[in-house]
Order: sequence, then structure tokens, then C-alpha cells
Amino acid sequence: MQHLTFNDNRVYNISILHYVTAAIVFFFISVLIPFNSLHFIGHYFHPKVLAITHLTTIGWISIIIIGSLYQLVPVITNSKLYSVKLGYISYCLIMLGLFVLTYSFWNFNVGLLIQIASVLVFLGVCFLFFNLYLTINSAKEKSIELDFIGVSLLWFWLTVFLGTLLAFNFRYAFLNKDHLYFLKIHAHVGLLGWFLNLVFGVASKLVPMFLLSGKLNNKIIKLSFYVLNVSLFVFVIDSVFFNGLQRSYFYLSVVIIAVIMFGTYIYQAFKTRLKKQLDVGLLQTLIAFILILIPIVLWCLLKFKTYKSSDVEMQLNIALVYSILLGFFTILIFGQTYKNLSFISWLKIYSNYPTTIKKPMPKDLYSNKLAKTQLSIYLFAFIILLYGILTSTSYIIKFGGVLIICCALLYLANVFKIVFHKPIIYKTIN
Amino acid sequence: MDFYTEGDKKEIAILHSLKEVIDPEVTINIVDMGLIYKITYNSINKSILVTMTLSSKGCPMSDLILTQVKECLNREHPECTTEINLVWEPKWTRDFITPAGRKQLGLT
Repeated sequence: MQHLTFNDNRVYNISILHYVTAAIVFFFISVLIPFNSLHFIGHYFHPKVLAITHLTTIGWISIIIIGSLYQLVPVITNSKLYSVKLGYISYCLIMLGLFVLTYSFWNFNVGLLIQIASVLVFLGVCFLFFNLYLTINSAKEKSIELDFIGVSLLWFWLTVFLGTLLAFNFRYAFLNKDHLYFLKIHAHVGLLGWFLNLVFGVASKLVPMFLLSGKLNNKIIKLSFYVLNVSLFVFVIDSVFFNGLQRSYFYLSVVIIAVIMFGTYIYQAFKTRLKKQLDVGLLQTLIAFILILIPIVLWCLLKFKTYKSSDVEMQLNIALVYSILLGFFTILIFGQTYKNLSFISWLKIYSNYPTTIKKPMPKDLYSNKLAKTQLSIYLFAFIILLYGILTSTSYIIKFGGVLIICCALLYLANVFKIVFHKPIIYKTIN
Repeated sequence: MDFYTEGDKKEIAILHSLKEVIDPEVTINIVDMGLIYKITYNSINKSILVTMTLSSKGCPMSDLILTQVKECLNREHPECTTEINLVWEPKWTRDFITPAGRKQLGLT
């Protein structure tokens, strides 16, 4: 019989802590957007934009991903998480580092404070890497999902390492190329290496499973793994040692091919699904995958078209980054929260209940109505925000930001509803 | 999946009792889901061996389902010793879902 992992409430608690933290951070991000709408117009290298971007990438997206990994990796590897204690240490270091990092960026304190912050985050990520690497290593069977997750952790480590170098480079300027050059490599590695690999790995496992999909072409997902990672690896080497950033359009075109391969796989999963009725979690997942087209279009506009004014390019850059962070990733996270967090919470409460007792299902732990309202408002808010950024219109960005606050509150309400769910027993079957 | 005749009363009773175990994601029971491949009842030493699979390797529900199968058998057939043989061959496909399961999923 396989190893039992679900009785470990400590793993549930650490996962839930990450989900709740991320939801609260997302609420803070949403509050910051309307109050700083002017900063979304202009160059992305602005203290407030850097602060909000790091809050989004670390405090929102990474923290929720880490929370799901603590639950998913032991399940996929059929083993226990190497150390829950190490997970808490990593969480404390990353969150403390993020707090100081945001404060440093906000006030553009690029001295000792930002150095301490980056070292704290770096140490936290080292512990995370060590913890999950040892868990993955204990897997008896290798799988493409684990390859994606393992490699994504390597890219995460590299992203944070580059970030730490950049933090020290503010004061000591030891890097052989200018700061913005390395900042771009840092951003590319984080967005494509860490986030994209993880999305590919986790979604290729969970989406067909949730949908009860038919037979899928696994070769295409394996191929996308190699295409994505080989192109990123060559890009990083070329950029660090040569002038590879100038050839980024080539590398990113190859990455887009990997995205298309992954998209084909997910499309097949949806097309051959047995579950015709999509719940709100899967609906948001599907919408997120469609929204990946927006950054691709924006990137093509940025790379293959020349603009008379550099202002248009600056706005396209900000829109590109935020269409990935607040579009694709955020909606995907919303969807997966309703799938995964409700499962974790349900397992924590009901896993020891006898089968004779009729109990709610994981989908009953959150308000479906609230989730659907949140999705509708968020889609509208996201389009408004993007339009505001592209047209450099502060009051439109502000309006989009206010709508995002409403969504963040609805999301937070549902997260708390799941986490603080009290056991309900309907009646016994016999 | 094995088929049972009227003579296999105990096996049929065990199969029936396993219908209590519900997959929380799909919301149908594991028997109609087609996860139970074989039930072997030994009347001499009063032992039950359930040969079963899961819808996929690394399924987040796997621990829960296996524990609930064990709990269900121990409760419904306390006189027997129980064992679960988790297998991956033949690989589960959605064709294994029974007509009753398809009906519950709204597919027929």
C-alpha cells in the first residue's frame, strides 16, 4: 500500500498559511494600485512600480505556489515532505525579506536595507529549494510533472540569486553590464523559468485529472519541457556572457512555441473531458489559459513593430508584465485556489469521518456565487486596467484598481470561508 | 474488472458496501467509477483482498480513498481481515465507469 500523507495536518497547516498570506498580500496590492495609478505611466524602473511588482511576484504568486507545492509534491512523489519545520523557516525568511524589500523599494533605500532584504529572501528560497529537492529526490518514479517542478525550483533559485546580486549592485556596481540589462534577465528567468515551468508541470497533472480527460498526447508536454528549458538556458548563458538580450526575440519566439505545445495539450484535455459542466475553479483555469494570448500579442507588438515615441514602448512594457502577472497568473491562481485550497481544507476536516456520514464535498466549502461574481468583476477590472496602462490614463487605471479591490475582498471572503469552515454533517446514509 | 455470479454472494456484498466510498472530486462512488478491479474472498481464513486502482498516479485523493476503503471494509465486515492491492495495470480509463456512474455524471 502506498505511503499515507494526508493525515499529516502539519502539511495542511503550512499550505493553508501560505494561501491565506497570499490572499492578504493580494488585497494590499489591490489597494496600492488605485493610489499609485500615476506610477503605472512611465518607465517601469520606478520605486513604486518595483515595490508593487515584487509584492505581486513574491508575496502573491510565489507564496501561493509554494503553499500548493508543499501539498502537491508529497502527493506526486508518494512520500512525506522532507521537513515541515524548514518550510516554516523558509516562509518566515521570505515574508520578512519581502516586507523589508517592499519598504526599501518604496522609499528607494538601495543601501544596506535592500541588501538585508534580498539576503533574507535568498536564504528563504535556499531552504525551500533544499526542502522540496529532497522530497522530490525521494520519489520512486520519475515523471514529467516532477521534472517541471524540479527545474522550476532551480530557476526560482537563480531568479532570487540574480535579484540579490542586483540589490548589492546598487551600492557596489560590480556587474559587468548595466543594471537594467541584468534586471531584464532577472525578470525573464523569474517569469518564464520559475512561473511558466511550474504552471506547465502542475496544470499538466491536475487539469486532465480534474476534467477526467481522455487519452492525451504526453509526448507534446515532454517536448514543451525541453523546448522551454533549453531555450531559456541558452538565453541566460548568451545574455550573461555575451549580448544575448539583443537576441531575446529569438529565444522568446522559441518559448512561445513551447507555450503553444502546452496550450495544445490543455486544449486536448478540455476537448476530451468527460465532465462537461465546468466548476468555477476550472472555468477560471480555462479563461487564464486563453488570456495567455494577451501578453503574446503585446510582446509581438513590442518586438516586431517600431514606435515613433518611446512612451508607447514604455507603456507596452508595463502592460506586458501586468498582463502576465494580473491576467494569466492571477486568474489561474484564483481558479486553482477554489480547486486546491477547498480540497486541502476538506481533507483536514473530513478525511477521518466514516464513509457512512454524509458530508459536504470540497466544492461546498466556498460560495460559488461569490466566486462567479468575483470572476466577472475581475475580468472587467483587468481589461480596464490594461486599457488605462496602454493609453496612459491615470483615472482609468484608478477605476480598474478600485474594481480589483472589490475582487480581492470577495476572494479573501471566500478564502476565509474555506479555511474557517466548520464541520457539517447532513445525515447518515444507513 | 471481474464479473460476479449469484454464487459469489460475499463478493457482491463487499462490492456493494464499497459503494459508500465516494471520490470527492468526481462525486461518484469508487465502484461505479470502475476503480475496483477484483474482490477475492477466502472463506477459510476469512480474508478479503481488494485489487483496485486509482484514476491517476499521484492523485491528491489517493490516501483518502484507500483509507476509506479499509475503514469501510473493517466496519462492514469486521469478521474478516482486509488487504488492498493497489495496481496500475490495466491503467484506469474513463471507459471503466459503469453505466450507473455515467448516469450520475449526467452522461447518458
